Amino acid sequence: MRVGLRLQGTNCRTVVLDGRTAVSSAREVHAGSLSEALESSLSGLRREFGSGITEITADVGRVLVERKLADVVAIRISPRPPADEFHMTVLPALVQPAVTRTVHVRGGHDLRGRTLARLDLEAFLADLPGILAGDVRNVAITSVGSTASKDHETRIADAILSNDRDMRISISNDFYSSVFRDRDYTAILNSALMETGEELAAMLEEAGRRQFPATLLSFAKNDGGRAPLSRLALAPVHGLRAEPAMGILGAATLAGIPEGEVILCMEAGVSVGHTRGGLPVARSLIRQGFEASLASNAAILEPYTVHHPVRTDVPSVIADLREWQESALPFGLVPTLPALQDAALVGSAVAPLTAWIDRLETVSGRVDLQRVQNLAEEDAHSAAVQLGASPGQTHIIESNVFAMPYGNPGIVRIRVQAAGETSADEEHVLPAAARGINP
Amino acid sequence: MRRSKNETRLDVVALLAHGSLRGATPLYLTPSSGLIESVVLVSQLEAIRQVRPNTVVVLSSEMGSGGWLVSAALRHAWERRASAVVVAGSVYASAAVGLAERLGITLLATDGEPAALALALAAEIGAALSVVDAELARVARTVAKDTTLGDVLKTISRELDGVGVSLEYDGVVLASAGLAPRETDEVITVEVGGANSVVRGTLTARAPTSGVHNLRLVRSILEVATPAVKAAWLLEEVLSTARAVPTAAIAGLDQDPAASGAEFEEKHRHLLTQLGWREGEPYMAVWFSSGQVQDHRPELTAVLRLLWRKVTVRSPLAEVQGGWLTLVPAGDQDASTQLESRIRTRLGPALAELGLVAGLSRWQEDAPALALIVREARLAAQSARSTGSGTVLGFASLGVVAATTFVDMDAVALVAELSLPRLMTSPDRDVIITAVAAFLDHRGSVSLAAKSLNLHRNTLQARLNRARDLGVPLDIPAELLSVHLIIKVLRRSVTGKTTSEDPLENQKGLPEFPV
Amino acid sequence: MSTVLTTEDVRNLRTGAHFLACTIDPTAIYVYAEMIQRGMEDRSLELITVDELAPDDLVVAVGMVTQGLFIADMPPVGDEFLGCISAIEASLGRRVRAIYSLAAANINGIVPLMVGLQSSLPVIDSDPMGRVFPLISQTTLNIGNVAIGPIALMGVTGERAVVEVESPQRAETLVRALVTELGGWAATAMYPCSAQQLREHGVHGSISRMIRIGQILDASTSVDRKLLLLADLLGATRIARARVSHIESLSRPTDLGLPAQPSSVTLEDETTGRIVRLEIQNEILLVLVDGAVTAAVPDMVTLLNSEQGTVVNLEDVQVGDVIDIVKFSAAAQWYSEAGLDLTEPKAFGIPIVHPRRRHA
Repeated sequence: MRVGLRLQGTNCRTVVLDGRTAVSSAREVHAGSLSEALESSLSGLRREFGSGITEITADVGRVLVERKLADVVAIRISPRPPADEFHMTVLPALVQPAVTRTVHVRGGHDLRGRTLARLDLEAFLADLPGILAGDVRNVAITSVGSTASKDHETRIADAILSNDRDMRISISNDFYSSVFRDRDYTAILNSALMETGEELAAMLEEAGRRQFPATLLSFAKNDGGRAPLSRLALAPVHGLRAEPAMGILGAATLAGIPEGEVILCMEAGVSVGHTRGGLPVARSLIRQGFEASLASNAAILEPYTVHHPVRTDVPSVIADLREWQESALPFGLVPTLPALQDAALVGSAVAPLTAWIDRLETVSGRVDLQRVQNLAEEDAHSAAVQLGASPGQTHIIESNVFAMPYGNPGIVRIRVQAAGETSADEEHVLPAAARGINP
Repeated sequence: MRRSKNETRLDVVALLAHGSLRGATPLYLTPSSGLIESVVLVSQLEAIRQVRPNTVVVLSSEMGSGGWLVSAALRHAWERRASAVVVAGSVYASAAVGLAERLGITLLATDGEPAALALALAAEIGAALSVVDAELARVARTVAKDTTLGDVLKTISRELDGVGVSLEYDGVVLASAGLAPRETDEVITVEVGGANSVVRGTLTARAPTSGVHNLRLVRSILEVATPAVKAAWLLEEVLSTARAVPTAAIAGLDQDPAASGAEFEEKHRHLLTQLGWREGEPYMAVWFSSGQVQDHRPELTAVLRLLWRKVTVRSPLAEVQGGWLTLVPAGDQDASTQLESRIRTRLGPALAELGLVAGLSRWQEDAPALALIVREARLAAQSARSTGSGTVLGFASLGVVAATTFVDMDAVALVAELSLPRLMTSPDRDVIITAVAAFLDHRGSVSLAAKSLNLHRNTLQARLNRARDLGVPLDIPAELLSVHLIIKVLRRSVTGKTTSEDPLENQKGLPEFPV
Repeated sequence: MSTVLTTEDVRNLRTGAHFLACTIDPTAIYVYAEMIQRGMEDRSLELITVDELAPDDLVVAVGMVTQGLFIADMPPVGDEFLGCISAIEASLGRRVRAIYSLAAANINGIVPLMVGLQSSLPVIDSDPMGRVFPLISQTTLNIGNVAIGPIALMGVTGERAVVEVESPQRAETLVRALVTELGGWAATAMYPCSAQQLREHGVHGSISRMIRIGQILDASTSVDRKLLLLADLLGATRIARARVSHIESLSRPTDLGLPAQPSSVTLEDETTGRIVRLEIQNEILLVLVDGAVTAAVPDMVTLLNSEQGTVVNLEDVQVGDVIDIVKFSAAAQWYSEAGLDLTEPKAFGIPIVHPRRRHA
């Protein structure tokens, strides 16, 4: 049996699934503190289900959002600093206050990974004592061209860590976006969330060890997958906005449609997502209007409109997730799922381990392209296995190659998603035979 | 090409199952199998707009096979009510399958060369011409770009998927490209050059019988390529002639045989420079001549030049009075031996076929005068005639026997008529001549001679006595040489085996070359 | 007449530039729009028509030339275009009186506004493409034999080059090589010419048209209403509303002279069953409907979200998406003999004659 769990405020909400069937409706525990609520929820589950629980996946997205962002030092590496105020990197308003200091370091690479400017490590080392002297423990490092070479980002990170082991560092190379400001924003936000991530991971770890010592604890990600708690401390940003993804996955799981359309009706409005290969269809960025995008592979959930095409050849599920379901749904929609299901919690419970490979490759032709794509698929596969998935239970969900507009002929972006289950869950196969877009 | 109406109709499914489309992968098959009446191989999209209904449209590999192209081709094919579209490879075409289905047109992919499939299909439906037109025009364009004969042949061979292609003259292969011929090959030949052309031969393709080649198309390709072959050959011939001018000039020089090499070089320095003469380096002369004096075929020069390339390409071959001459540097004795054996092995059979012989001068370290080696080669060639066409003879191995080859046979015969009238008119003349010849050949030993003729000693003795009776002076030592000569001449007519090949009979007209 | 642009205009222009960019990632446009709007708080920005200039006033095209890099991946420092303009002035010994966009679409549709703010030079409501093409030689000025050089380039590293060149094709080669070495993009100033030359050989009203497109697309009206208004403004027609059924990369062998990898998208029109194929190389070059050429470069093709009427980025296109494919004609100059020579599918390595040429 698997548990889907969501934390918020000082509450903990859980649902238990056996296969695709919910064996208990969602339960919510309110307590004096979040850790007490968690402790109480887990001990309740232990009493009721004992060692039948094999997996617990926690959606910590709401906690990540409600906590205050930690202060961050933003280090930007580029050949030259902005010449005027217009050309300064602008962060979304929510994140801007978290950046207490901005440091420019000369350096950077071009798209081919060639050095554009030598890394001015000497100047940085001169600044370093001043940076470390403050009480900011979180650093985000973003370099021009780090999609092609992370050399400058890691050298700066190493320089910091060799002076202070305890600094939390987030480098932009860990997040794929071809846009500097997206990577910069994502690295900064990730860095600002790391402290909370660490705290949540430790709390879940501790409670889990006490109540379910043999059970693996994971956190829910915004692509509809899960990852071990250790990743929450390092890349909490992927835990942000996991709920919509889990909602799509949960509704699709309850309806049994691994390939289809998922319409979620919530208080805020009606949204549409899709599933493919048993997982929500994801895009590599979370767009936020005209502001910087978050470089995290996340499920796509778009507003439902009156123009929405009705398709008979694609299975679809309409889930009413509203707290108050007295009024009819807009657009004349009629729910196809029984009421009172916490779809997102169901999603968390069934989320598989997912891993992404997202990178640039230089290819010389079709054969070479096939080679690097195969390599990326193997890498994604082993990344999922690295997270704990059993090799035999791991599949490629998506494998795409993108041409780079106006790019150098021969440079392509490859994006691969692998998903898998632990050997403990071999009976729980992915809802559908996983398949990628490219055969 | 028109098909008669009552012939069996071909359709896509049948040809996929057991016909020329066998190797193709159906990406989409229309529910009702399409009728096939013709096939076109297209290298431009626009060409599809011209096809007739029920045509299989094959996209040539040079066109590529991008999905858009396949889509556009399907559209054109649909508009023309074609029966199928065939593309190379299936990788790009996958997205076009839906369109094929929508338009209701069969889409096939081939891993092989689309042109080969088109040709095989054309052969099968007997509609070669429609493919041929497009294909031939392209071949003609392609070969026209080549300037050397070798390249032209290579291109033709390549166009025919590597089959053996050769330029031949009287069955002699002058140049070739592609696969080595095999017994079972189908041989297709096309004439190159007319009767009065400087170059004349046949262009021959040898196609494996098992192959997919449409023999008529092969012939058409050869025909289309012929002008290019001829042009390339002529061009090379003109260049060779120009290169051979100094060599020809040397052969025509009025030379003093006694002059030393140094004197000759001094006198003809300019000519030698043009020849690329290296002072002090030993040269060998090679003389080719016809086995038959009257045999003059103007095209032989061009033929021989192509053959000579098989020995060396550096020394030009000049057409000279009475044959062809070339001067080859030979640094040492080994080089000369090698030259001779190379001529023998590489040219021997061809020379035999063409009725030619070759003579080589001796190799001498002290670099004798050119005039001398030219004369040696010529004499060796003259002498080689006695052994028959195809003989390659070095002057070094010639010796005094050569002398007999320069005797005027008609004169000797006339002497016999006049001085031995009784013998000549005797009814048993032939038996007696044979007996005398054997006697003289065995240095007067009756026993040995009888043995050689498989006769009893007494019988031979009796015939020799009969010869003496008829006036043959067998017992006068001073006359024996002459008798031997006459008998040798007469014996030729006795055996009757040698006619045109008899070098002694061909001596007429060449009295200016005394021994 | 001269217009002082508002921040509202800039927001609309942002959408219009994205629309005309035909599926290119719009982030750089957004970044610039934001910078420009901030800049407009204390400075004004003047859009003029070319007629407002004296015939022999020196004008110059400004634009980003990229090779292998999104501008957004390596943000400009800010002094690049000013550096280019002063390099042109130094080279010609004359002052530049006004600037115009190298290509009135995508990033280059909006960049002149930033440059105008920084330099206080007026921005001319004209450009030499009327859309965006990948090559700097693909301009109506080139058709009119207006010299492309001297060209000034400045990259993010601060390095600057002035290329004195006559042949637009050579300029293409040289500039592209320099841009690669400068890091992947360069701010450029090129086609310095007289206002008279731009008047005779440019495409006019291109900036205001982008603003108008933005007004239409950003309005909260139905998609059908938006399409109707676009039809009025641009003569735009919807080729199909179709669902993506297949995405392909590297669908054609590409000529190394052309930047970027080609790719294609196959869609199915679910109401009619028609199969639509888009051939893409930076922009959408070719649209085949059931295999028949329905639009071909220089025709402009862009994709709109069938539900929201927003511009669809190619990068976000997924199998299953329903998209409106919208087509409209490029500037008239592009359909002349010389125009088609420069920009018809053959110029992009697709051996298809433009339909209009066939009927010519």
